[in-house]
Amino acid sequence: MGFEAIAPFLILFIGIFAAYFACRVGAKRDNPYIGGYVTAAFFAITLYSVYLLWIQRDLFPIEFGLIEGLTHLRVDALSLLLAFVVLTMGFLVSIYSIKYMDRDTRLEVYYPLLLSLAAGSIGIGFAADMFSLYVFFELMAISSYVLVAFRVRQRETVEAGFKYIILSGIGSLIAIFGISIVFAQTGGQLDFVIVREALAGLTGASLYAAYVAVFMIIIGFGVKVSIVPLHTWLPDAYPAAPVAITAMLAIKPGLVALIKCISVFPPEQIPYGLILAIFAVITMFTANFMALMQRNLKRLLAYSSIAHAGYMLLGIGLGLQYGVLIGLTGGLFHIMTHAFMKGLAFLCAGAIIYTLAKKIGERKSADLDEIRGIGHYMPITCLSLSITGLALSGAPPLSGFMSEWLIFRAGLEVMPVIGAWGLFFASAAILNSFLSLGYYLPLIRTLFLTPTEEKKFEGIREVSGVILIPILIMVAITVLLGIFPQMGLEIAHPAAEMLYEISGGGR
Amino acid sequence: MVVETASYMINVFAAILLFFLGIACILTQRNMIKAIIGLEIMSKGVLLSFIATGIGLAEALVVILILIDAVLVAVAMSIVIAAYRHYGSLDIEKLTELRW
Repeated sequence: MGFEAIAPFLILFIGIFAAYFACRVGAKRDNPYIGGYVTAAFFAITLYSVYLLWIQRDLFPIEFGLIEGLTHLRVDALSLLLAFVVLTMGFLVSIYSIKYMDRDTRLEVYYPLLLSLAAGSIGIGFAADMFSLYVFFELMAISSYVLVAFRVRQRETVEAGFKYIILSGIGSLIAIFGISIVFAQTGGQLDFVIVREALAGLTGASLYAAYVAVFMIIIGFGVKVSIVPLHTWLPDAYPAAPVAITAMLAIKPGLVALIKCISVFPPEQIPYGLILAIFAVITMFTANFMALMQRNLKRLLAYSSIAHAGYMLLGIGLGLQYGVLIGLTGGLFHIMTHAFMKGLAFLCAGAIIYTLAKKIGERKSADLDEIRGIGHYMPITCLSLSITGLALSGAPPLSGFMSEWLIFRAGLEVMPVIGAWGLFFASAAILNSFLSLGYYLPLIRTLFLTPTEEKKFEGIREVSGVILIPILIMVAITVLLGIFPQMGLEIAHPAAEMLYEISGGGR
Repeated sequence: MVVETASYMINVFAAILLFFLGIACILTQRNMIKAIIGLEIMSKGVLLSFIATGIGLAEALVVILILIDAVLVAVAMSIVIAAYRHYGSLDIEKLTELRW
């Protein structure tokens, strides 16, 4: 019964040990590249096993339980959306890391943790009950704590890692406290389907308890999603981590955890969707204004990824609250497009920093003034960065435009229900799109200006093929998802429909 | 099936108290190790909140949560050791490269 549901985890689990041994063997034979190839191969096999689940999509939800009568894993369209994004990114990132991490030691820790980060992320989508979800969430979180602090020789990395582990640790403990309240309210049931039935039609003290639980779950997972008052770890942790890890973290699996846990509550009694949408607007504006002030490439991208968390929350919040299918579709589609766009942006930034570090010496990240004019020497990387910059600020016909357009439409769709507030949400989305042009256009201009000193970048050449291949594949995905959004919507739409039915669609 | 006995209420009150004690510990203490102790106190509050329901399954969940806590603390401690090697001190105020 549903053993194919656990196959991706088994493959990744074997991959963790295989990657470790491959790295050890590679270190002994003085060949640091083997680990990366083995990791990429395991990501590819896992991707195939997830594809095998996808072709059985008529049978959804596919359930798997270790003990008779209990369900631990439930595969549906939402899980596969997350799994496809995470595994594709993991595959590209592990190819990228082969060359990018060649000056680092302890790779036998890096690649297994990358695999367990991916296993935790896809587990969040697969989990059938809140507790399994929390366990997978912690697997993802703890792997990311180690990976963010991976370059322990650098001071700011250690500081960012400590800040990240304390804030994110508090966040997950608040979330599990909220889950424990749900556990008491349902009398020991945590399965999403059963909890949804048990929580329908709450009254009196139970309703207040449910309010507290919703509050705690939003705050708890909100730390990982980086909703604005809780975002302070992100602008430090993202630049401090190796860019390959930053690209994996930018997928925001925490958002899926938040949606899955929160959508079990009755939306007609607890207006959590509206709360999410309001915080989304605050998040977008704050993060975009902060990004306008940044002079460092990686910090700029980090703030931009907070703003994009706001876009997803806006679409999903409006969708859950008012039963707007297009908002849910847009929000979930934006998870996919943003993962590839922001991943691409970080990988390009990493390629530039890698090349500069080779010439000028060790550095943590690139200031915008320092990389001025580098586009003339690394044309392919900088063109890719320009494309993704335009896509992130929502320029048609790139992929960011399609998802942001759907979220904008969601604001207009709720206008009959909440009147001018719908226009407010829609215009917030559009306004932020323009705000983000305000820092992406100067970034592109900086890349192709003349350098400040005549011979500053003498001898700098385009990065090698192993780094360039993942970048070019992601450029292709970014452009193709913009021109043919059906490719992504084919997964995003069934996932949105599922959430739509849960939230009691079209009330 | 809502658990609403008097003993549950008392225990959950104690759990919330422990939880906020942990947060207060993290916010007020300047020592890195004490911040991690604060995290642990918070997590003990969570465990008590699960146990207070008196449902059999809660015990199984609590064992797994303790395991997760142990891993979390091990990772946090390793980061503290790395920070100590850089600064020779456990004072959070010494971490000045980034703005908190």
